[in-house]
Amino acid sequence: MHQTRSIAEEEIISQCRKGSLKYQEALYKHFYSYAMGISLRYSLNRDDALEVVNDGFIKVFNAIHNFNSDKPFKAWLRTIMVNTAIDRRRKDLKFQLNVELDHTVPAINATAVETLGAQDILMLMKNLPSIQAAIFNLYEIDGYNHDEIAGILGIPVSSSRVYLSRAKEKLRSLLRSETIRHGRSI
Amino acid sequence: MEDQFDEDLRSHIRKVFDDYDDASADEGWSLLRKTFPAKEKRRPMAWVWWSAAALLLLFIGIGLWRYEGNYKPGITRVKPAKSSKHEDLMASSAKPAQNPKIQGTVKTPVIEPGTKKPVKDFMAAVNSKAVNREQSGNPVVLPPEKSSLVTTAAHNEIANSYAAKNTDSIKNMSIQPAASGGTQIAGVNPNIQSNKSQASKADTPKHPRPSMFADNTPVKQKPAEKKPLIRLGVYAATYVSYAEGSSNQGNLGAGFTADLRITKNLKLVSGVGVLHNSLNFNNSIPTTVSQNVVLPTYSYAGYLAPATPSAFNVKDAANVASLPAFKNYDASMYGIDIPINLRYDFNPQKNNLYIMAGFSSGTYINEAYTYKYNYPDLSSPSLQQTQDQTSRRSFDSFYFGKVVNFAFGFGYPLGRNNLILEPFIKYPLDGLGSQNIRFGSGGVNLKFNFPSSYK
Repeated sequence: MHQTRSIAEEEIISQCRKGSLKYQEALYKHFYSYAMGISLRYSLNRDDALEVVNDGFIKVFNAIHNFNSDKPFKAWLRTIMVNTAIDRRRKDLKFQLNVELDHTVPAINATAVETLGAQDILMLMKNLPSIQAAIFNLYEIDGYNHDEIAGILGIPVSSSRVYLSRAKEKLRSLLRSETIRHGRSI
Repeated sequence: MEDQFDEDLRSHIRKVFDDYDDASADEGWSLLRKTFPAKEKRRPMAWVWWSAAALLLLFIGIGLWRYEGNYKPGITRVKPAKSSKHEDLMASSAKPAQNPKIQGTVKTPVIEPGTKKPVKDFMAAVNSKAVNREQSGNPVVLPPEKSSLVTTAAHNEIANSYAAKNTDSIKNMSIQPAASGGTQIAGVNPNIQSNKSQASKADTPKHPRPSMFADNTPVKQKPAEKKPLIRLGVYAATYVSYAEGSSNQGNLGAGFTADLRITKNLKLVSGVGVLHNSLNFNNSIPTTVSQNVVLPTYSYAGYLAPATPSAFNVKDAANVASLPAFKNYDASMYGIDIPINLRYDFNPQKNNLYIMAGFSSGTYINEAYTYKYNYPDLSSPSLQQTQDQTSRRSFDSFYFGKVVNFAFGFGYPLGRNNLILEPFIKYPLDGLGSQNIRFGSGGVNLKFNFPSSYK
């Protein structure tokens, strides 16, 4: 079931293990968009996301000798990016544990779900409290289970379930709203 | 209905962000390069540290060697007086220099025939040396290559030997009392016939020469107690390594030391040891390590979705997807420890009780860091598997004075050697090793000390 890694990718990873700056740059640029797509979902803004990406890639370069070549590199990179983003926002997330959504939400027609672009989704997420958005991302998008999320965020498992439920409810509410927001840029 | 909606939303979000395209990679890379200067700078720094350490060791070694070569306890070097050919003659006939244990020196009076001034000068020199020796209480030894060494005890023997053994060599010499009360030896005079009786007069109490040396005979200098400048030692260490969050681990080490005596009570102690340090962090990980630890993921989610979206069952993927749960972290390091300590002996004459403090530098021959983690068995989400991942380094870094040493010791003399028990503690001032873990150790050294030389 695993996607076959291209020879070029293996060569890049192999050279990165040797510390070649040229190949590190190649690896960075090859996976930059993928990493940015992950970090944007966990970050407050684009600058924050870029810092997460760069911090994550520094970890990748430093620890690439630990990478198991039999496993998919993308999955490894995803773990690093998610952990880096969560670490960066850990204090913020804990602070927002008891914060509830208390402002007006923009809404998007449910029928338009499949037409949502990345910016629309990010805007939707912005309307969730940080802790809920993080748990939604971890569970629904990145595939973590509640035990793992509880461990990562330092919260009870039950809280993780509750916050996820609230996040999904809120998103449904937003998407089923009659109002369609027109400005979609962040 | 809601589930279907959630699944549609989830699938769509995954697809959008897995296919996300961002054109700012170049900008991002240039930003990264400001904070990630690769490893170019690290290598030169490592060489600088290695070079500094090597130079330091070299200087210490040269210093010890030179100091050992120049310093001879209990012996005073006196610049040799100009020797006359007669002194050489006497020296060669008596051969006092062949006895290195001779202490208390005077020059054998040798007088040229017909010249009395040298005799007076010589006797004055002899008397003044005798007085000086009495005043100082220290034996005076002249270098054997340029002066003759004659003990007070041996002096009589020499005097006797004139008559008893060397009649042939000195048969043309006669000994006469000098006006100054010293001894005058008239030699190499073919007109003067010497005989045994004349020569034996020198041995009689009436003769001035024995009386001249009578001042010296009772002076028996107790040889100065020789203490070695450098004592070498070998030791075996048992100790416990400790770090915050780690369960204490018992370890072993061994090495050798060199104690250089600076003053009566103070010694400079250095050496080299090979020490093993192992640490075990259960359910926690050192802060410095966590920044670098990257555990592999076993998640299928996100990886398969973009490739085969239609066949991909998101729910199943979410079930098997997992971030490995950290279990424990082990560190095992074999290091070279180079301590430079100052040791203070409380009473070196009576006992071997001392305290010691200083700093350690060193490097690690081999470092092994093992992460153990659990992850769900892909065949069943309820099952857990354990896997470990080990990273190894060798001679990755050199730390300089990052460890403070405290120790005290008490020894049992075994002849000239000592058997020493030395409880110690090593306190870290900063993180050590490639993972920068701050750890220390405490335990006991069993040390066997022996003198290197008695110069």
